[in-house]
Amino acid sequence: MITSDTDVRTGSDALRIENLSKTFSGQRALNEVSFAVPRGKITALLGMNGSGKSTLIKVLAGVYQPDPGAALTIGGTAMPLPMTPRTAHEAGLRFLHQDVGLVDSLTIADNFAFVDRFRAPGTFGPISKRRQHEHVAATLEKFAISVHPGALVGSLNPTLRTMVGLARAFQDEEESGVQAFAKNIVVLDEPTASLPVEEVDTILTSLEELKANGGTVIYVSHRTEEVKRIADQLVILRDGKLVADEPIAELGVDDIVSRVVGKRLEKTRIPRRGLREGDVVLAAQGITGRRLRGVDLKVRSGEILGVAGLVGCGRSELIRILAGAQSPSSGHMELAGKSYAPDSPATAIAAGVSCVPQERRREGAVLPMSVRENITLGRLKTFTRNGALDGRKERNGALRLIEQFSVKPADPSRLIGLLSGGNQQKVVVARAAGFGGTALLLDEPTQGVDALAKQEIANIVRGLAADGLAVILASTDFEEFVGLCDRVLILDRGRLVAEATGEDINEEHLALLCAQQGAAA
Amino acid sequence: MNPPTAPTKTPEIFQKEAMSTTASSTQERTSTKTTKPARKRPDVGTIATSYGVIIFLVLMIIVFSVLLPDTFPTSDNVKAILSDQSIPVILALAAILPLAAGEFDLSLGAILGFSAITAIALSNAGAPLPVVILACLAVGAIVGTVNAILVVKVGVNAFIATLASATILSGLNLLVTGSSLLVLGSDAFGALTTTRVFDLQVVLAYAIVLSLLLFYVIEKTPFGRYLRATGMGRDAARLSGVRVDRYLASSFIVAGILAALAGALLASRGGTAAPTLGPEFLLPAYAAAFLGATTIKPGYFNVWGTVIGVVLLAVGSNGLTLLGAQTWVTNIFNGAALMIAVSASVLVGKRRRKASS
Ligand SMILES: Nc1ncnc2c1ncn2[C@@H]1O[C@H](COP(=O)(O)OP(=O)(O)OP(=O)(O)O)[C@@H](O)[C@H]1O
Ligand SMILES: [Mg+2]
Repeated sequence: MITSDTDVRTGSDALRIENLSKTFSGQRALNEVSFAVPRGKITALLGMNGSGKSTLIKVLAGVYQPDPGAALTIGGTAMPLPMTPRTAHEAGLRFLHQDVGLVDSLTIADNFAFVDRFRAPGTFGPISKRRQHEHVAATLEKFAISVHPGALVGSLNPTLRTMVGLARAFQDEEESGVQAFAKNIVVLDEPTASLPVEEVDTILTSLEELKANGGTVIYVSHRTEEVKRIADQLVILRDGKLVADEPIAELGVDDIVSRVVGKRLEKTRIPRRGLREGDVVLAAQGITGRRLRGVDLKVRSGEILGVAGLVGCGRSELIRILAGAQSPSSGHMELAGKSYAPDSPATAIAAGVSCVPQERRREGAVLPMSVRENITLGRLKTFTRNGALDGRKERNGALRLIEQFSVKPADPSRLIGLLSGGNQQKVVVARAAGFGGTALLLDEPTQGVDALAKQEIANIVRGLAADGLAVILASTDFEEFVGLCDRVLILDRGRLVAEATGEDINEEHLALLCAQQGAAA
Repeated sequence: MNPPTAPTKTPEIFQKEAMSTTASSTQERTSTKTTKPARKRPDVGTIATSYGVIIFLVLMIIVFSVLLPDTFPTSDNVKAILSDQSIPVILALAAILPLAAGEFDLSLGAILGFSAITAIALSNAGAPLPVVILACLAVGAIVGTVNAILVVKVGVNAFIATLASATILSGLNLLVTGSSLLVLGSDAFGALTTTRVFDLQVVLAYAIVLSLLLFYVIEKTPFGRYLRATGMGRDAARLSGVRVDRYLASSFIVAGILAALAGALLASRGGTAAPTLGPEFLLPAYAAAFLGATTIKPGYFNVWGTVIGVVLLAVGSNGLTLLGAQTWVTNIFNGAALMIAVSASVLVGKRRRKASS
């Protein structure tokens, strides 16, 4: 239902960027980018890791100041540059940044409140806790988020955090209804990067609803299927330059990928090898934890084992327990036939089990340290001479992994926090996969990683498995299982309920297995 | 109630990182054959923040030398400053260990005091020098261990845990001294500090050796790297295989030992210990550590920055005293120097971030 008020505007551009450049200490992140975002449509902003998507969004949000010479028009009005968070908000821009931008130590309600000052009568007026909570609770409910507004954001899992961030970006639209929908431009930077399928669906559905009501959306994702499903317009950046700006209409998923990457990507499907015959490397019996209810599993040398399941099935807990980051409340584990009860990730790593944790920004990367220091973190023993760090050895080791995992820019001394999201993830994967061992645990390893790098990482993991490593992969991305796994286990509320092998490992079947279990509840 | 966090966790420090990268990448670049865009030369802002404290120190030395040509730039005065600051340097070095790991240790001043009192009491009771020294170091290690257990095992906030142990120590001080000034009665213990090296007090040599040692440990060994990772991203460090608990614990224990050593040296050199000795040393040590974190390697607590921080505060109060200023002037100077240096580096950091990033 589009009101007459918005009719006037449909057809015009919601936002027009002209000649936008952004230079970071001599390095061009955006290079004379110009494009328009049509009103009432969903525009996908695509590009490989480090192509400048987040930078562009942060310029719009007033976080970064663009190089001189750029022009920005919103709803027909020329905006003074640089933007500030205030002018952006007043112009109707709403953001969900890649790093979500929630404050862990505050409650959900408080996180809502600080973008939304008007709810308090003046800066020093008392904040009505009750009104605020009611408003927040209503918004959360619309997004099917079943947590109390008083819950600390830090206590939420990544999915819920993203959902809360999204709900926050939408909040005043929810309140003032259609009019606001039509006026505002919602900008989402990889909201689904670490979300499982069913949540992705919630988000895509709300975006479609938003569009149906005349809303304008700019959407960043590395998941091409999502883009194909919801986007109308395609804007693609490569190395900071605009390389495509066209309607999506006829394009298939493969066409989109090849436009992003700049070449055709061959879909690599590993030949189905049947069950592995190698020795059992890692075995677990009756593992019980907060979510897990007695899980038994075995991974053989050279095998890549997938773990799938709906939210809350205990996937990440399983990885954490195997990685020594959490102790099981009961159960027994064996590594290469010997009892294995790591009391810390350090013990697990010493025993040859390393892990890519689920949450990159908190558990994966030490943001104020350099790429080199992050890659070698916990592995410095390899880089010492007589107990002292050997700078040259360390730098060379870091460079080798940077090249192998194509981290860009290939600069070991750059702070990891200044890398693009996908490149940060590659560093975390490089650390876990780059130092050998007997077992590799991956929790959502390619979150936020572009199609090309995803393939490169998959190739590396395959190579490691071929050399005899046992790999366990927990993921929400079924495509990843198809490309990699010999066997996939389905977890449902802490129990293993199904197993897929061979030709059964395809997206439809896996989705079916997961959904069946959810429905059987 | 949230006590202030050590700056390794604050965003400003993170913002300033760009500068330290520029600095540290110079050597890395030379041996890196990968193609990458040439980096900008460090600009005036970078120099001002990285070396602001040093520039300020040099200016101050020039100004005092001009104003006080007969008393300030003399070798006696320089020697006096260097010797007087040796013990504060050791305490400030103690402070940067827990700070690097992301925690405050507020008991360091009290450990210094308790160790000094222990030293005099034991010497007066006839204990030989090695026994006295070992007892002092043991005191530091024990208090450090208690702090470590509270913080690491029990999970008490470090700010509060160390405040509590400091308070207990101040009570013990009153008990041991009977609330009166302790005076060293034996020369044996004084021998620890009476030797002279190159016509300078031996405490200066102790401070230099400890600085070098700590510099090596913090900058050149995996221990130092992991200690910093513990302060900058504890969860990530732990999951990468760093035993963060151990690093955290050892930072408290080593800091306790260093503070106790500083206390023993102080007692040996001064020959007296007041029942309230200790706490007044804490704030200057932290001031120096924070000043140090704005220079040499901005954003990091570092040894040479800290040493310069101590010297800066000492030169200031020495010059002001020689000018005839009263104690309150010196206090105001110390506070203002800290305020200005730290604010300047944060502001320049912000300005640069706006401009270049
Ligand atoms: N604050 C910064 N300082 C210096 N360089 C930066 C900064 N932020 C981003 N960059 C660089 O700018 C380039 C573009 O980064 P950006 O984050 O915009 O990429 P992206 O397209 O969002 O990638 P991803 O898909 O991985 O999130 C990268 O090379 C990155 O290293
Ligand atoms: Mg990004």
